[in-house]
Amino acid sequence: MADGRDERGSEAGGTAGTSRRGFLQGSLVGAAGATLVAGTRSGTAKAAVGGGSDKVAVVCTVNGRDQAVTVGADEATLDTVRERLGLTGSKPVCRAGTCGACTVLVDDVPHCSCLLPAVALEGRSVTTIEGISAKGLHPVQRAFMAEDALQCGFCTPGFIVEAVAFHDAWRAAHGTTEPTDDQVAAALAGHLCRCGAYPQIYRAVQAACRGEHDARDPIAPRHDAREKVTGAARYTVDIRPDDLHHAAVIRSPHAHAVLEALDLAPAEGMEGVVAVTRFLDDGGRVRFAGQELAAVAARTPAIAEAARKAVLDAARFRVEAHVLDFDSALAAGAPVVFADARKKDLPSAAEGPVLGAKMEGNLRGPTSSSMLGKPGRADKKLEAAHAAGRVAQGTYETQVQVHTALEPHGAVAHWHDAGPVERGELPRPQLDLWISTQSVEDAAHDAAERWKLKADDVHVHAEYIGGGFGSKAVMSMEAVVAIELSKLSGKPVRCVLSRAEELTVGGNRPAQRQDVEVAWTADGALDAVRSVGHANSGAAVGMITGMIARLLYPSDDKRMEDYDVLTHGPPGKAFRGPGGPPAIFALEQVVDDVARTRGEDPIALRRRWDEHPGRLRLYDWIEGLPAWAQRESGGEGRYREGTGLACGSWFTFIARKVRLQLDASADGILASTAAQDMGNGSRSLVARSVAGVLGIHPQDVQLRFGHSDDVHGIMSAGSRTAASLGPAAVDAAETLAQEIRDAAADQLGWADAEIAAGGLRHEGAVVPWKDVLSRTGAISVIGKRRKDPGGYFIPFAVGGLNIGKVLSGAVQATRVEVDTWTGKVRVIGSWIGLSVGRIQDPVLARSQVQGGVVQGISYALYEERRLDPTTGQNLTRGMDDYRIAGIGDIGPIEVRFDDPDGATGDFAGVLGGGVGIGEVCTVPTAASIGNAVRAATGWRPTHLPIRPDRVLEGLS
Amino acid sequence: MIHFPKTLDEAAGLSGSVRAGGTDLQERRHLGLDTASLVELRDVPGMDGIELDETHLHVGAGFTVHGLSADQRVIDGFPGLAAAAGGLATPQIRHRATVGGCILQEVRCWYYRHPDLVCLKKGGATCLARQGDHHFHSCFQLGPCVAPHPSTLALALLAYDAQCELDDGTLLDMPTLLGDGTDPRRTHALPSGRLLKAVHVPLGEVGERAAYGRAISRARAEWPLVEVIARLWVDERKGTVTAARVAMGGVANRPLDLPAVAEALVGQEPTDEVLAAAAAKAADGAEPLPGTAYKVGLIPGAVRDILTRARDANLDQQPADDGSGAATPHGLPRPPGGG
Repeated sequence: MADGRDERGSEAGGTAGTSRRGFLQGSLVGAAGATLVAGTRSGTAKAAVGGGSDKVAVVCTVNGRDQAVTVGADEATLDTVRERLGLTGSKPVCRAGTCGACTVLVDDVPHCSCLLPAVALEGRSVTTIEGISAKGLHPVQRAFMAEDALQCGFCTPGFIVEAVAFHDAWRAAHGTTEPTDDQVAAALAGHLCRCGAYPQIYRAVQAACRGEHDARDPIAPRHDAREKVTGAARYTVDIRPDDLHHAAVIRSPHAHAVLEALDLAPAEGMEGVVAVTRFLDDGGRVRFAGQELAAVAARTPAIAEAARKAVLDAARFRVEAHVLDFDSALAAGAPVVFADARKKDLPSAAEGPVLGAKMEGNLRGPTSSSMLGKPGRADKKLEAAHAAGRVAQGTYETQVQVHTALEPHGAVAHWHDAGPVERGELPRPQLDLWISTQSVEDAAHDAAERWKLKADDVHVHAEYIGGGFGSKAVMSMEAVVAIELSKLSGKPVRCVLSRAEELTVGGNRPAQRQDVEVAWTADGALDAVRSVGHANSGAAVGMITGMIARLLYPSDDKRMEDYDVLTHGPPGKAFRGPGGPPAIFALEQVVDDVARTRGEDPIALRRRWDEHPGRLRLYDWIEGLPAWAQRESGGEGRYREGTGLACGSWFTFIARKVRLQLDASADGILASTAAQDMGNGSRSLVARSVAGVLGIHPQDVQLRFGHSDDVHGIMSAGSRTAASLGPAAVDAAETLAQEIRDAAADQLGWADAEIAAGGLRHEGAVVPWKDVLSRTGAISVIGKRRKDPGGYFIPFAVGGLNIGKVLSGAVQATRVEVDTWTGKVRVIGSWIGLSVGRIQDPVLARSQVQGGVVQGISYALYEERRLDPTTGQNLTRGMDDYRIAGIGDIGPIEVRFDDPDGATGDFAGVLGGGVGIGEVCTVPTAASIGNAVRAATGWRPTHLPIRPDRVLEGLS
Repeated sequence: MIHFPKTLDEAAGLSGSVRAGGTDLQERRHLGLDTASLVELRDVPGMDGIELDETHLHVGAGFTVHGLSADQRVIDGFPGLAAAAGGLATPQIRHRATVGGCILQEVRCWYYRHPDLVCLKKGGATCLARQGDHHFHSCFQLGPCVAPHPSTLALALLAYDAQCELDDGTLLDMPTLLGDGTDPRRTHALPSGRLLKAVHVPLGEVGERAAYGRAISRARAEWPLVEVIARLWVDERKGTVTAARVAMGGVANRPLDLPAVAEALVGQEPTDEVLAAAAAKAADGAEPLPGTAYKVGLIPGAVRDILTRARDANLDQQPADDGSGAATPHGLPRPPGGG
């Protein structure tokens, strides 16, 4: 018998009464698990291996094909399928079995391939996402497409592989009965999605199990959904040019130190190392643990890692005292983080330009925006209001939140000499850069400037980006490392952050301390507001929470001061709604206290204080919700429920330089721009806008995104995409239609031609665009983002952005359950209303809003970056320790758009009639949860995250 | 270097890190925490069986955690063990992780797992967590290392009085296998050179009501702040508890048996008040660190939760293999999903 295990099985028979030893020696009866752990395997592989070796020959089946591979003893299956077999659909994210992005089937059972030794594959059958896709789309893939159960797509292959196994087993056992939410959540508990596509994932898995996607491939609302559900979408981490070399970064293990000596020789002498570079000179100052000191490039990741370690082991530091928190940083005699740096060297944690401020020790501020309005009058009013007992106040502290995009920061740089040469010109160096970025255009510009290259000679590519959330807006060190090492070596060099690096230096939302006072007049009007915010941005500056808090409840009588407190922590970065969630967590809980103190309904109070017309309408909707009617139903039992409400607003930013090119021919219509889609849906937006004008289907618009060589694009940040790129696409399509009509009239003599849905109306019939184009020849146009009819807040652009006169608005009600025994807060449901004007793409807009709420829940209840107080080293380096919300944590999320057709005209001043939604939808969530916990328990959480220990302390 | 022994005896004669499912070891090797030779058990036969006889459940050390949670004989006869197996980690991990590997895994302490830091466990001079950030650490002090014991199965098997069989036939009870926690370098006390071959779990009295659960912030897939297993037997006629077994993890560097809690239940009618009073004893003897003082307050609620769930366990209702043993109490509102 070929398989020894069958032999033994038949011998022992698995009968009851087998002796203990007999059972252990022989029988292999029992549950499914018995087939999963390798028994003895036959075949040639073992003979080749012998007794002990570093390399192991493995024979297995991958996606139905026999494979003989030689693998390392420690090698993970993930690396085998990605690096050896080129199957890059399985994604590397956590490397610890937490996130599930690398899930593959082994003998039809889902496994985390990052933890599965490749040697265990001997005799096994492996199915990756590519294998699932090979025979056409699986019903689960169709369902994910149809329900828009994905955004950036980086977690999607893992979810699909798991859901396929679940679906197939479920259908076999239960037919087309729908699994419950809880059953789906249990099955997918080993997967994490940072974009927050969970609500749609529930729907997709359930729809597939109901048998609704057995027959036909759907038309997905998301233009690039098929690429993402099949694993075909190629992200920066999937780019593997020939002769690829690998970088490793030498980082400081100390939070504050002087680098006394860093010797690169140990790395330079190593076989396989092709380049070494340093970023901090001897004598230079280290300001956070994780700071980049030097980098190496080598033929293999293992050599690069060995070289990294050799350099770090030989490095000498003079360690100095560090400060990590507010109190120690502001204490007398505290070490000063930026004592000897010039102002322009200060890294920015802001999304826009850093506002001016004075700096003293580690305290920077108040920023110049603090002087807006009449702060002096606010102080006087507050003094009087305090005397009259008409002030609510509180101090609120929020934690450091890490962006945690599932695709880490990564870059592949290839510096080469093969530039186009005109007669009489010298060959110019060319840089091709694949990078996970929110702006291919800015990355190209920054690279050209830093390395003194001509703009035309830098080619940046980012076709797919596995999430950014603000962390990938500006060029960061992974790009510098890859480019510099490629320049030195002439080899393509890849620098991809490990998850530990990503969670340390990938960027973060600074910790915040907000002191807020809100005063009201005798007749209940808003009297004055004072909000003093301190941001612990690590070794960075520029937070503006006061500016955000100012957006609610218009009044001149506000003192909104912002300070940065510099510490020896990894620098903060702009993070989805920078400053928003912490600012609103404080302000909206104090406003809730105003209503409580006055014995007034919180919505009734806001109806008087709030002037945002859309939000005023949305209050009607909230008031009609059963969850709102029972908002204070806590009681005295173990579980207490309550509903809280909070508002948010965000700026309208418009990037008017954005262009969209359309190349139309008989072969189709191609839209291109130097923009990118990081999961926010910019591809779909363009396709839909163009298709809408031309009367064709969005999937009939081809797209080229993510290449800096194309016409002026846009950074995916600051909620600017919809209001900027959408109108440019409409303009391009209108221009194209006009030009085709003109060409038909001029060249074909169709004097009667009129633009119609789907083509030109000519002699009573509509001739499709492509038929017209086959006769006129190809036509290319470039669409512009024209001026907004309503003008701007200030007449000129700042940093390439015009600021619209209107603010977006959000209001969220969240219902929670608090377990008074264990301190656990569970979100029962969320209802979020958005006033953003016309919605260009309802399905994708809803997905993005739900994702913002998921991130807000995650921020409010779970996430917390923690540094070791002794060394300043990041302790939350893996996704077990840095906790983001899972599929079972979110509850239903209902989204309501106030004015999806733009009928009210509130946003008519903005071209297109609507504004962005990406940030405003995540701003109120944490505050609404704070108010919900207060409603449920009578205790008000003042610190995030609202952990079990804090709840128990608060209730005791 | 990797070895592929063909028998357990051969494996026991090799030195190096023993790899079964690899779910813990692979991560530690990826982090550079383990660099020894590998003794890969892939080709060792007969480790992955499970069998029930008149007196015991016999589980091979290579049997999977998922298998334990899904086997009807375990669900029927050892409901707390099945619930614990189904309530740990994630579905993918449970499918790969073995019973032996789960018992013998290393701690999840973020100092231990940090490649740049040398803690007591890695041969350093002090426990870095004691003086540092120990929010997730112990509140009972059994020894210098304050990393909580990571194994949910070790906790459950302790509560089920399991015997562990080594490759040479030696039988150790769980307290002996795990050790007393005084040696900071070791997370168990498996004798040097020996391998864990199987666990043997004695059949309990009929009528067991059991529950397992963990206090965590999210719904699932999180290392416990406190985890509890409870086994109760109630005299249906008298309505009193005839026997009880309660144990707790996440709070010390070894799982803790809680005989005082069990004693407080026996002979009593398991009313809410009786369960609460018994649960309150679970924190007796705690010596928390500054950052784990909250656990002393959390323990009574967490234990009371599991005692209540054990009492209310529907003897006819089988726990579902959905991992919800960690978070979804029977008879309580289920967490709603999305959409």
